[in-house]
Amino acid sequence: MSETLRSNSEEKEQGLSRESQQNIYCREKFIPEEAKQRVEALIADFKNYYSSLGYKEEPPVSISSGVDPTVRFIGSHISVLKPYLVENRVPSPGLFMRQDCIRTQNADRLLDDDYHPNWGSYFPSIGAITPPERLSESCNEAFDFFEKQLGISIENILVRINSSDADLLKACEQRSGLAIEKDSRKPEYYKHKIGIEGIKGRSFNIALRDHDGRGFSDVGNIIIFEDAQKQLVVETALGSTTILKQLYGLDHVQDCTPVIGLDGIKNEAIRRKFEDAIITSTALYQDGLRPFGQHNRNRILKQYVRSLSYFRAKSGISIDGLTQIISAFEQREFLNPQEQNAEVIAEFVRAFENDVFARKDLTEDEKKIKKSLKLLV
Amino acid sequence: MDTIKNIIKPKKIKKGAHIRVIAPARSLKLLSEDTKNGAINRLKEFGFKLSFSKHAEEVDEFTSSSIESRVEDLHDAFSDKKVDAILTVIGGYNSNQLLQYLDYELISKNPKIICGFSDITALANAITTKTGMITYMGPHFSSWGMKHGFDYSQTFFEKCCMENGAFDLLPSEKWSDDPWYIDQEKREFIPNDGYWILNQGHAFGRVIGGNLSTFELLHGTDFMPNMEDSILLLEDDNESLPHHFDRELQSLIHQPGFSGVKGILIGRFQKGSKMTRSLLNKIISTKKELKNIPVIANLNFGHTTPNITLPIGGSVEMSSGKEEVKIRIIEH
Repeated sequence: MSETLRSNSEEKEQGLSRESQQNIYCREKFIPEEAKQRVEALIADFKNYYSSLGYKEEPPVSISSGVDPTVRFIGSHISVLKPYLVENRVPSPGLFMRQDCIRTQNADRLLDDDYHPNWGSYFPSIGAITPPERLSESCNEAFDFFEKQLGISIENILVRINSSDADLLKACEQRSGLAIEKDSRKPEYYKHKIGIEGIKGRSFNIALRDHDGRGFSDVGNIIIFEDAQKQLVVETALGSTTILKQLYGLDHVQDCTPVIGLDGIKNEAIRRKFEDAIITSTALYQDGLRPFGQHNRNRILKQYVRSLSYFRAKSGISIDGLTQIISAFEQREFLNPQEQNAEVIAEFVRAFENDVFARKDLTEDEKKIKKSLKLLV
Repeated sequence: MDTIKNIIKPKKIKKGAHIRVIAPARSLKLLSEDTKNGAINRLKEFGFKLSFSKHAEEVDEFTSSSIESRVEDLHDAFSDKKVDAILTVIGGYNSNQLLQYLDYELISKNPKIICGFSDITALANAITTKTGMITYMGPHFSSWGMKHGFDYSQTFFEKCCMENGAFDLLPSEKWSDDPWYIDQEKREFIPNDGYWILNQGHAFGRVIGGNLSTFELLHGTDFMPNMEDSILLLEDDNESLPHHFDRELQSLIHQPGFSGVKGILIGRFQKGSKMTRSLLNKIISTKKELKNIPVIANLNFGHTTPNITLPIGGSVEMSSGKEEVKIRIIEH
């Protein structure tokens, strides 16, 4: 490995002595204060690696920019890269990017006490696209990233693939020592859509062994997008937080964007959803979005912001306490002092709470929030 | 009606900031030397540096200047990196002439405070609608020329344009409707009888509006703000009598999307407008669309003095009970 390819991620498998505290990757859980640094180091590793291969970097866009009208928020870098594949102008060897994303699968169930989210809504996505004729090379590049850049042994990597995808299977089988799990999931698991009529994707998923050595968990995939006539692009899509969760044995992907100050909450589901609401609200306020109006984006943000009242009530946290928690998170996660929004978010929370106590025509969710706040009082 | 753009907050200014004075409505020439020099002195004493736009003193048959001159001056003010904030000279009748010629991308890429009122309502709401940038309804450059009774205006300009935190709008102790620019020493200050609660309730939303007869000029255009989850500011000068205000408000109520208005704040009327509390109460109470939203009047904005500064595109929480009122500017 050249100097420029040397990993920024610390504590590789070799040469470490504290084995009793370490997982199969010879890494320990990092403390919350180090999380941002770890995430950025992994992203830097990814960018340096693909840059060294000759890929060009595509700049990120704001999460709620609406550049992809088929989605409410940017949920994957492919939203930004779509024009290249639609206009058939994917350069060789390719493009890579880091894109902050939000997937709102948790939004409708934030107030459901029985719902425990496995995923956070906000995450930085890393990915690359390359022309379809480079399928085999792009697969090897991705496996090299894991093996050589991150120092992960091949026996800790698994791919999950549909055996009918012969081209993808062939590319994986060429990789010496790679474990291949065929047809273990429903066919839909390997299929993708990107909101463009007639364009579909087929993928295999890349999984890393769990830190305790037992199972494997997905951390990304390689997708080939095609229309009825031809193959259009190969996309490598990796989750920086899912990779870090596996490597460091984290309990949850949200531990990569930790919210400090919620440790006292015993109910794990409430704590994770509270974290998610803080993280997502802060990220979207940073983006300039506000919970006003009927557009889906604004309405979803309203769900997250309103849930802050529910969670703070459930957790016995005052508005001032909430402000401090959000502020500490925001300062750690977003390094732009001109755009600190913690106090504004707290004022919105307070105003929404005043609203549920003043209005009579409440929705069921609002009634639930009001009831929880009454108990807090 | 455009969708609500993501918010852009212009950087707050500090003492030492460079303020560009532009004349997008009537000309700087309209001001007396006394008012102009008074404004320059007050702004400089406060610690601002001042410059005037190239065409600020150009004047035509309408006491204004050409569209080209005004557009050029506004673009220069936004694109000049040395300029921190923009004050408009005074109001007028024609700033809406500029709206289709403005480079909104240039403005959104160079966000900075722009403050004025009255005819500037058209400009402020259009810029906010097209860019998401907060604009400010507050003192013109000319307003700073007032010798007496400006402290309250200055305090709220500082809160809105120079500080970051949320703040409550408290009524001034006194107000005035005299032509202070004619005689600075002969002033008549009237005790303020406080806010008028016309409808009770609580609301929270985005600030839009301003001078009603100017805001009306935006109806049906791309420059009209989205009214979803909005708090509407309304005021008018003594050219507008109660029946004018009534029908203009009715016209606004007929606009698509008015049901998104969550509350209304009304600025103090000039004596010459003949508006009284009971007339205003009658106007509001006869409109069924307003029955379930809070309406508070007699606020310190409009064409009397002193004036608060309010953030168009910012957010406000308002609450009115039988006697108590809370108006809190949350984001500005």
